[in-house]
Amino acid sequence: MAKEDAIEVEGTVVEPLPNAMFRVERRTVTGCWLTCRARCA
Amino acid sequence: MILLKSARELGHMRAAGRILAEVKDRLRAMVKPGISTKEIDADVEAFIVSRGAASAFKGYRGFPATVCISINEEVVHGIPSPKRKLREGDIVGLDLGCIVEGYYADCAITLPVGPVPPRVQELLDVTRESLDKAIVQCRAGNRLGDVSHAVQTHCESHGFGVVRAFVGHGIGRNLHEEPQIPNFGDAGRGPVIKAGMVLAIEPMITMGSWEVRVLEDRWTAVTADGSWAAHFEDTIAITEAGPEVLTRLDRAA
Repeated sequence: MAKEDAIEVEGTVVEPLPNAMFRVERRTVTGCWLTCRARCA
Repeated sequence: MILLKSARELGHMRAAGRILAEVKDRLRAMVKPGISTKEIDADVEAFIVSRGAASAFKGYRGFPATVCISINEEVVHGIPSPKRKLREGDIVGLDLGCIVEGYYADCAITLPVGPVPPRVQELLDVTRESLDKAIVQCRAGNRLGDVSHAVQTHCESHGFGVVRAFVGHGIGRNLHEEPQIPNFGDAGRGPVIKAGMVLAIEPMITMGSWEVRVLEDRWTAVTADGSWAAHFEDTIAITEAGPEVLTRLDRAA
């Protein structure tokens, strides 16, 4: 069974969400802030 | 962390792989127009249990069956159903794993149901060849990028798409272990391959674009453009003597 691809980056948790998910902000190389949902590894 | 396997652990994985190699032979005989995907699943599950092993997929993260059966534009993780019957001209991907003494093996093949058009047969041939080319790269001292690159260059040189959203994986006491093994990448990059690693390599290749989406059943992955896809997989142990393909009766690379 194939594994879903996952990438590993560092970011800052800004809000805890249900189901061990977190809203994470990360500064991109262009200086923008990216907000994404992430699962705790 | 990439876990290395002892000789004892490899023995269990070899036993699991041998059962899967036998299942592949059963599948080649069973895949015919009119059979339902549920009938295939039930036969394979009974065979695995009769050999004293357990299904690796049934119940894995809620997957309800022993075999992932994915037809035509379905790439991977299709769910068997009594209503879904194979038709002449289909291609059917069959992906399954089993557990012996707590150790996993994992494999997949894609079979034509009767004759298929030449370009579809080419998809099957090129995908299988790309897995063989990847296995040749599974030598201590090489890097994982060499494996990924072998798949990507072979498939893209024939004009096929390489799926990005799903990857191969390490395997052992768990179905999915580190490392991830993408089917695309640069040669000479990534972790160094060592003796004792066991890798499940699984090219997922399309006749169109690499993009996929997952259906409402939350399992079945289909190509975004509706193009047909092929999937082959073997479990490979890295030994000092070279790669040992655990999920084939002829285990040499």
